[in-house]
Parts: sequence; C-alpha cells; structure tokens
Amino acid sequence: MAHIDIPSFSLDKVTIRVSDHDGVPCVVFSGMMDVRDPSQEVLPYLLSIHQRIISGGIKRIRVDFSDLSFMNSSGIRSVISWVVKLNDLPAESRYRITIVHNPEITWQQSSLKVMQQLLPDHIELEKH
Amino acid sequence: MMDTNIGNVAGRKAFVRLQFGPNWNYIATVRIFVMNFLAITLEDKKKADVIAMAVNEMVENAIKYSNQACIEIHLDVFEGDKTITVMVGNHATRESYESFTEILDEISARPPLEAFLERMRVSSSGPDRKSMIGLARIRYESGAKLSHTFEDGYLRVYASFDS
Repeated sequence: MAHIDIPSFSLDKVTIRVSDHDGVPCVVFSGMMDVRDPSQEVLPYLLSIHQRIISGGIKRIRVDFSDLSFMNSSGIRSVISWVVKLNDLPAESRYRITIVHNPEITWQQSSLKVMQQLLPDHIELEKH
Repeated sequence: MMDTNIGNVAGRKAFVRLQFGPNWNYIATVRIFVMNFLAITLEDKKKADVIAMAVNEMVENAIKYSNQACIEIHLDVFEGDKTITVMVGNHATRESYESFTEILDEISARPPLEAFLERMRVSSSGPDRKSMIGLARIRYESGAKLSHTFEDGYLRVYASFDS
C-alpha cells in the first residue's frame, strides 16, 4: 500500500492532512483557505508531500477539496504551483492526481474544472 | 457625513455601504456578510456565492494595493436581480494604479477562460502581487464586467454582474 508519512498542517482556517483511500494516498483540505500568502507555509507543505510521493514511487494520489468551503485565488495559485512541478519530472517519476470536488460548493464547480483544463495530462476530476 | 439621499435611487432593490481598515483578517467576515446579504436579497443562491467570491477577490486586491487604512465597498442590487454592481475603493499610488491597469488590460483582452488559464500559468511562476489571478477568476466565474478609475490617489474598481 502506498503511504505518505507526514503530519497534518493547520494554518488559520485551513487544515491539510494526508489519509488513505483504498490504498491511494489522499491529500484532504478542510475548512476555508484564504491566507494572504500561501507561498510562505502552505506551498512548502504541499511540496514536501510532492517530494514524498516521488521518493515513494507513488503513481496516483487523490486531492480531496470536498470539505473546503472556500479557496481564494492565492490558494489556487499555491495548488497550481505544486501541480505544475509534475511538468519538470521525468516521465517515470510522474504521478496522476484525482481531484475530488463537491458539486454543492460553488467555487469548486468552476475553479477546479479550470485547474484540470490547465493540466489535463496530470489531473482528473471526480465528484464527491 | 452620512449621505441622506443614499436610499433614493430609482430601480434599486437593495444596497450596502461598508468601510473598514485594511486588515486581511476582516476579509472572510466581509465575504460571509455579503454572501448572507445576497442570499436574502437574491433568488439565485449560487449567484450570491459567486458575487461574494468576487467581492473577496476585489477586497484582497484592494488591501494589497492600498497605501492608507481604509477600504470602501459599495454593493447595489437592482430590481429584478438583473444587474448587481460592486465598487471597491482604496487609496493607491500612481505606480500601483499603473501596474493594476496594465494587468487588467491584459486580462480583459482575452476571452475569460483563456485569461484565467493564462493567469494560472503566470501565477505558478511569478510573485503573487503581480499575478492578479483573482481578477481573471472574477471574470470567468461570475461573468462580471470589470472597470476602474483613478482620481486624486483613489482607485475604484467596479464589477457589474448582468444576467
């Protein structure tokens, strides 16, 4: 079973943790993400997950936003800054991301779909 | 001084005027207030969510660009809910205004989805202050028309939501 050993992360109103979903690592966002500059703390945490995925040879993960009621554009920016790192990896190190979204939460209907369009080779969407 | 004529606008259904200090921690409170206000005022609850998101992004930009301690918000809902307007104002330097204008012009020159995707690409590699991904997000997710004015060191950004 693929496993990422990293403590959960909380800042202001957002919590990020890594759980397991049927043997697939799942990065779970919950709360509200509206910090001013996520590049200071949120992005380094996401990139540390990214490094663990690569070093663990993991080929597929889930990123679950379904319990995140709001994300500001700076938060979107930090998630994109993580995911575009996939473009820098050799093909054998790349992994696919299934983004889990909640159709009842308005921002997720649009922003996450655009994120998937930005990186269609790396991201697929799944309804919660 | 209070504007005693503020309520006398033909065809207007509801309005809000807010002023607050440029503290990032107040933004969520403002967004939730706007969302609750519009949820009462509008029949379309999704529209309330989208406009509250737009106000959030506009206020975030205002705080980033403000050089004095006051952010101003005007929100007007017109009869039939066909037109909703938001104005967010803040004091700004001419340099900030010119930078803002340059990026808004770039965003407005492209179709909304294309501009949002482009800003996502730019934002993943550049400094946050210059990315203005929030403006592209507003255009794409809400369909708002964006404009702005700069007068006597005061920047006003307008969003008009028509349906």
